Amino acid sequence: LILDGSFRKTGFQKLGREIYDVVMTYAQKAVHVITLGTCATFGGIYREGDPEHITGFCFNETEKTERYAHFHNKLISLPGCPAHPKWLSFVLMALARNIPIPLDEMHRPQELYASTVHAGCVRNEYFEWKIDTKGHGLKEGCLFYENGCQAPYTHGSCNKIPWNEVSSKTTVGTPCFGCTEPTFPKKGLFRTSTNMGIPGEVPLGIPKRAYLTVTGIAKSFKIKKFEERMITYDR
Amino acid sequence: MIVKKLIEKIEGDAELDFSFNEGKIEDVKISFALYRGIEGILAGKDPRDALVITPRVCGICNHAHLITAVRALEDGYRHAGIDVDRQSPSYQRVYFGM
Repeated sequence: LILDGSFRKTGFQKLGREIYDVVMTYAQKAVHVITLGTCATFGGIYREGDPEHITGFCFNETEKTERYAHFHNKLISLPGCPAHPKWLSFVLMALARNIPIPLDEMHRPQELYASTVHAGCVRNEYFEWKIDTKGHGLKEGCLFYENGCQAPYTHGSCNKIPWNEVSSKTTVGTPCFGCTEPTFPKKGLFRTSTNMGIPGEVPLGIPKRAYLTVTGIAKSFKIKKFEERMITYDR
Repeated sequence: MIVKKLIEKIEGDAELDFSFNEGKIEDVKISFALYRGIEGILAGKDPRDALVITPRVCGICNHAHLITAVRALEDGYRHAGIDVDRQSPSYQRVYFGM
């Protein structure tokens, strides 16, 4: 059973029947329950319309809902707004062939969500030297320091399994909005909230002290190549 | 006689409620069971967040919703005396052309 969309127990009827009853009937019969997308998994954007009643199927942001106890044995989470079609086909193919899918604590396939969206980003050199971009859509610069990019702490594989097989948010020069996370959508998606010039949230799994030390060292150098355009069209 | 019909191919789903009289349609009521309240969700956020949230109202026609948000923001910039007309219209035409 594949569920999409956020979830409410009452007040969402189709042909006179509560969708809740329909979903519960099939979820009990199903061998696997896949929550596809951030709404179905965590509640997502539409949870904000009525946070007291709207949740994901088995999670309400990071909290487990009452359904978790019933369905955790067959639950596979595929958050993302939207989820990538290849993430779904990866899971369906593995299930069809009885290949085990290692899951994390949120029941996300680790194969797809163990690393961050930052892994494989084409801007990694600018990230290492703490050089932010001068604007959206440019080839130069990182988007983490000023433009709100959440890739270093967002679980996902957008820069390993590209969108439409060609691109990703950070490739074209748009910040990652953290759409696979239980916290999606945060406020202020186009700016980084900083603390004394340092991003408030540091890359996933990196101790803040280690991050600040490396940042301090990287920022103390002035590197000419990062001040220039990568491609000059008027030469 | 009343026949209810689901409309499946739109995001959010709607229901048509037909009443017939002697084989002819007498009345049709359309009802939308799902109200998501995206305008309310945007309240209190950074205006630019609308560029991320608005298109997610629909997986099929997200471009139209995004352009609506873009135009609303551009109106805001124009009222604030900021020039947004230099590049934007041509981008929008390309975007819709795709």
